Amino acid sequence: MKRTRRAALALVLLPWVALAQPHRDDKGKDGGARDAERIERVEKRQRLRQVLELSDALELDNAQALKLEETLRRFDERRRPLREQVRDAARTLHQAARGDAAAQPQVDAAAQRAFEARERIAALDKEMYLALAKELPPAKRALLALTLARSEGKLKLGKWKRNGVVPELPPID
Amino acid sequence: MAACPEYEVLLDVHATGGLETDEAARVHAHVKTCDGCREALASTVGVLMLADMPPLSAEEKAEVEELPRRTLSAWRRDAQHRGLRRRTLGSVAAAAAVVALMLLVPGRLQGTRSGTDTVTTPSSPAATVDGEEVDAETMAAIEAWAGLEPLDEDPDAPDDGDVVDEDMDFDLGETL
Repeated sequence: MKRTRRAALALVLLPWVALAQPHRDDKGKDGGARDAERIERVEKRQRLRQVLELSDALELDNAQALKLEETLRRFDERRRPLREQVRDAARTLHQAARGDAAAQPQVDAAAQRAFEARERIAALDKEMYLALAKELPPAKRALLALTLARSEGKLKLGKWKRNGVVPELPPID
Repeated sequence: MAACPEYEVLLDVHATGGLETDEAARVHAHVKTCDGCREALASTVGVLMLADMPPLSAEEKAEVEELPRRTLSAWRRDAQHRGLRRRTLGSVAAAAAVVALMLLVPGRLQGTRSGTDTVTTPSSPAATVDGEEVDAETMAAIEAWAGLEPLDEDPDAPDDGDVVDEDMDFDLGETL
């Protein structure tokens, strides 16, 4: 039964994979629109991965998984302007660091915006956890917290490892 | 002495109590006057009495009384299983139909989405001065610092399908 449920869940969620495929005909689009589409596409892919991980960990059925996807999507939408705020601040700081005169006066404001966005993202993460944990029993809440942390940690760790920043560590007992 | 041939069958049926009242009265009247038939009837009744079942024990009575309820429960269970199977098959078929639609007309869907999507990414004028962009790795590091999952799609990263498989604890291929 569990196998059937997983198969059905994967089938239900496959459209997100289909829609998350990169566009092949976007040569004519301007950079801003292309960037927005790329962000949306990657967000969808990350969200799909998160839904599958959480559904598996929390043993959700299809309806619950779709509800979870909807909740994650709402939080992604709220996180998107904060991501843009971080990226915008990073661009300004990058320009200032390269000596661009127009960007120099904006350094403090840009750094402030980056820190502020970081705090709001952390608050949003906590709010998302509470929203997802709302109807779960304690054991499932614990699994949720661990899965969310592990998912994010694994992603960052994986990237750092690919870049050779962190050496391979032996597994913890 | 043998029974009258025309009464042989009637006598057997009469012995089991299966005759209608008129016919039973007729056979009864005949038996009174015919020794052969009387003997045949007595013999049949004797045989039938040998095959008579003993009375039901308390356990057997309880079993018999339970029978309708157990039959109903079994029927309900069976109906539930059949319903569940039908619903599961229906869900899988519906999901497969949706997937087929999504995969068969991806271009149209993508076109519709990009046509109606009005989300644009604002960027500050300072950010694009001289066309100098933050490199993907730095941007990803800053996003990770802020608590976001990096958006960069570096060439070393696995393909879409691999990304899905990479971090999952179960194998999609196995289930599909």
